[in-house]
Amino acid sequence: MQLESRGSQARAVRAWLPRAGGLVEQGPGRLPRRKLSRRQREALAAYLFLLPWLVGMVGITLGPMLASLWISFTRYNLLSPPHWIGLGNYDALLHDPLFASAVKVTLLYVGVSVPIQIGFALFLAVLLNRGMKALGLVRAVYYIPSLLGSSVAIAIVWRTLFGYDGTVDRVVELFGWHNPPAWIDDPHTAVYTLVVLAAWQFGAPMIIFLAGLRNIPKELYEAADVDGAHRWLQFRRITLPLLSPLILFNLVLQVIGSFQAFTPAYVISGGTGGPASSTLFYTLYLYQEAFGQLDMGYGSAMAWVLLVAIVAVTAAIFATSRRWVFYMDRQA
Amino acid sequence: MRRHGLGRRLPRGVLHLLIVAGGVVMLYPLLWMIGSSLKPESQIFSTSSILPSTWTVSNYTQGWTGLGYSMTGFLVNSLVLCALCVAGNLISCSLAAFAFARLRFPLRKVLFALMLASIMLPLHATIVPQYILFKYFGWIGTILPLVVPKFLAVDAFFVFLLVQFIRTIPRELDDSAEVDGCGRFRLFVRIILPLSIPALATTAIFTFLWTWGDFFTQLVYLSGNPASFTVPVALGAFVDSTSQSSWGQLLAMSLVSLLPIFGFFIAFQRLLLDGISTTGLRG
Amino acid sequence: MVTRRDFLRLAAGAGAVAATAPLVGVSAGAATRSKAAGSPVPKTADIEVAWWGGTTRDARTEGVIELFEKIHPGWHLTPFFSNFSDYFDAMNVRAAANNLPDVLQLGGSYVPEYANEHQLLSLDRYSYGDPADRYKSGNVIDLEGFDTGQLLGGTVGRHLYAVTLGGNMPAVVYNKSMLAKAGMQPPPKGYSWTDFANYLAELKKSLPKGVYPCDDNSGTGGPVMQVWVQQKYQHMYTRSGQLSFGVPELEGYFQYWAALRAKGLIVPGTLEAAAIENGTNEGNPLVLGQAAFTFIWSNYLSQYQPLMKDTIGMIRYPLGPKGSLVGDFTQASQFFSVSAHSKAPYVAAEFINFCVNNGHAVQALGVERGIPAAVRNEKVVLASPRLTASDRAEVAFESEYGPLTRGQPVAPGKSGALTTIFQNAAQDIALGTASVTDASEQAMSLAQKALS
Repeated sequence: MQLESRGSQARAVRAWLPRAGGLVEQGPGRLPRRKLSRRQREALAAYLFLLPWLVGMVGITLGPMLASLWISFTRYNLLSPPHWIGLGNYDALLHDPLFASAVKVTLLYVGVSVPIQIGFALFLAVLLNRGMKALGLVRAVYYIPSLLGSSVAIAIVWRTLFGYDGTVDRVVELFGWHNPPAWIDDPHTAVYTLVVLAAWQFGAPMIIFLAGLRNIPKELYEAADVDGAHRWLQFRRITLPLLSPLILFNLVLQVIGSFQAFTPAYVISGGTGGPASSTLFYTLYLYQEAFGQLDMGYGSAMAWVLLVAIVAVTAAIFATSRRWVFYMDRQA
Repeated sequence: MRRHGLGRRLPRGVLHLLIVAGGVVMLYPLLWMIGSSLKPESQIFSTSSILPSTWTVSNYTQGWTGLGYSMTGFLVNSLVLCALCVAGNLISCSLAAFAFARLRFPLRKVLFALMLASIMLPLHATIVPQYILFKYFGWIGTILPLVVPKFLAVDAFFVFLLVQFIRTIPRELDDSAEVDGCGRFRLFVRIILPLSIPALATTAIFTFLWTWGDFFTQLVYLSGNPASFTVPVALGAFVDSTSQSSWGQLLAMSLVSLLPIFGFFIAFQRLLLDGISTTGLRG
Repeated sequence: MVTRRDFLRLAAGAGAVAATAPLVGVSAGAATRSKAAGSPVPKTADIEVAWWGGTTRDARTEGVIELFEKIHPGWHLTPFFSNFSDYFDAMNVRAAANNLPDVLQLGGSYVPEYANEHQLLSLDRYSYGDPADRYKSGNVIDLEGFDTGQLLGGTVGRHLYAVTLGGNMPAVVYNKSMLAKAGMQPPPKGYSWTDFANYLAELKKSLPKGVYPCDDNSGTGGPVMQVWVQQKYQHMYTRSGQLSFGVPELEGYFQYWAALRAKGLIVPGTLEAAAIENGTNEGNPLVLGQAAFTFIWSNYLSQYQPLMKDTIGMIRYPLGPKGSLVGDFTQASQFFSVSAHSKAPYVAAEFINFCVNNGHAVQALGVERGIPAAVRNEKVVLASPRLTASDRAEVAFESEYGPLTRGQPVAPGKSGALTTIFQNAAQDIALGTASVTDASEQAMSLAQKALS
């Protein structure tokens, strides 16, 4: 080999050559396009389509996920290296009254806000899907609250609405309620002002439903019209089944989103989860522990407990979905 | 044209009245924001009236340069970032979604579950390891940590959305395309993508919106130069619990920052109308 | 090395130096000085300077950066700023990756927290307080005449890790106009906690409906609980970093406030909850005209005044049962520190020196972060035409009462968590979701856990 006598650069090239050569030699033999079965070709194509996602999963997502799992078994204040304590953090969770209260508040929030939000979204999507004048404008108006998001600006709006001597107080006074609760400042009612905020921002699921409604073939309704089917019956027999994959999607996403709800409680309570921990959502408490008390180990343990809880709920939803979700591709 | 849906038996007038009334409820907070942004700082919290007693535009004029850097720069930075993220998500998420929705391959269910699991951990638990990883890549202070993940379909939310949407498209279309000799990539580009336009528009709208509003990751990764700050990072600097705040400027600039997303929404919601029912493919 | 003894010596010499203090500090000459001493002075450098604060502070600090860059053309400073809580979230993430900004603003327990974990650079080599040390290699930051207590606040384990950017003191801010309308004078000098309670009861009689005599500061505002405790036990923490008091003391403190609340002398829990949610000056009950008195820090006077039509004033906290044992103190309201991983620590130190000693910089920063820690720089600030009447009142307040108080108490690194714990307890009591006893017991056990 002539290359052998040259310098390090040549050695590097040589180290690379046999493998490259091998690939070239083996290539045609190993990947005989025509000899692959249909199934193998489909799998190969699938992995090519998935390639960016796989790279992202392995290169970006998986590492930090596993790291946080490991951190959950350590005491870690972010400033010095983590110190292994086994199940210590998980054990401490069991005896933490604030953890228990955060779980309760979060379950209440998920249980109330998810059905309301999806119900609103579905109702208005169906309503706004009708041909009517200035439809785009109306849709935009109903979507504006969701554009506002959970910013600091929206937080002060909410405090003005539901605060002391606020707009809501004035409105209920018109109806003769002179001594209303302090809404956002009362530990018994504060979390419901966040539910109202969630209900008010139903724009995201609404848009997704609207997109889905557009994909339902008109012919189905026309055929139903010929049969004289009632509107409500059409909704139940045509709209709901054909929209069901997106209902499943919205349900799963809203459940995940509500379990993880952080920003609304954070901005409206000024980061405290108050009054009296009544809006201390699970992830807000996680954040306070991890970043406020610099106990990232505890925060990570909370994160993984949350993950297990969400996986369980999501799995349950998927399990029931076989009964009520209708896929066009299954029909074929 | 026949009309479909609920409420057909309600008199049109009543229906319209309800929709308008609902619209007012939806818009009231926005109107409050607009009113307060035109008040002097000291009136914002001391009066709950929506109309200012003294009108001023100084929150807009002063807020524009309130941080010592022009708001124009922050808006441009956010727009560039959002455009890149939208492009990234549209490409990468639709590719992955097509595979999950239409192709059979080993480990499909496992990978799908893994994908869903990846959005179940809260950001605060993963941001520190992620920051260390990106620092190792040498990406801190650049937009790479915010953009590259979008081109790698890290936003599994949208993969899931597109999977669900593609599954509402009848499979006979695929089969007929295959009979015509279409390869899988051509099937994807020629049939599935056009039929998924409403879902792609949804993806674009949400990616834009969430990137526009995403505060914490942008604060953490863009640190190093206020000239590269984005809108949410800039808005985070107007109000402080330990010193003098500028609530009026915050409200004014928040409203300004709404205009681009509102424009983007209006532009893209047209695409939502282009479902199967209007593309004529079914005909 | 800056030691406790050095500080005391410096404090003694402060008066003499102040008289001859030049308007423009030593900073401009520092580069040549150190070059002569053989210290590496980089021709070009790019450092990051980080702080939290609102738009006023941003503008002032950016102005100083501009001045500094003009004097040192090869050096480039990149600012980073946000609001208080987001700032520390970002700093904590960055600390985990050993990637803190070169110069960073810190406050309270973050100095020991970060210093103990080797995130900060010891500034001993870069600072001097004794003129004889001035020509030692690398010495840049002139601490001549700096307030001893404030220097101690930036000292961890006998090493200086943080340089004070200005001092403040606990203060009771009150609404002068409201008192005038009620025909009352503020409480006289040397008033006690009992006097204050009686005073509030008297004031209530002549206040309009919906206005409360005092804000509920049982858990918020200034360091009320700390001062209360220090008036009895000298220190809030023992030498080993534990709390120096027990449940009964905490109960007594919360009981004092509960009694005021029961008589309607302080704002109710729901109004205080609204103030906490708002979190900014604009949401403070005194600023909103809901309360006539509030316990806070002296530097808030000039922050509240522009937001109000009424005129406001400031008095010292009530004295404790042992009148001679004062609990209030002068503290550094915030510091500048240098990251242990900074690649240009010399430039970072030069910038800190510029901020606290250069005449133009001192005037540009004003008293927004607090009163300059050296009397010589206080005079520079007072000469500034930009100073408002409230700013001057703050300087006068600190000149009058500062010497009567003591230096900044040193808090253990883990004490940062305690603010939230005691605030939560106070709110639970105020809103009636827990009794004084239960809340005190729970807060005490949480606090002890956090400190362990």
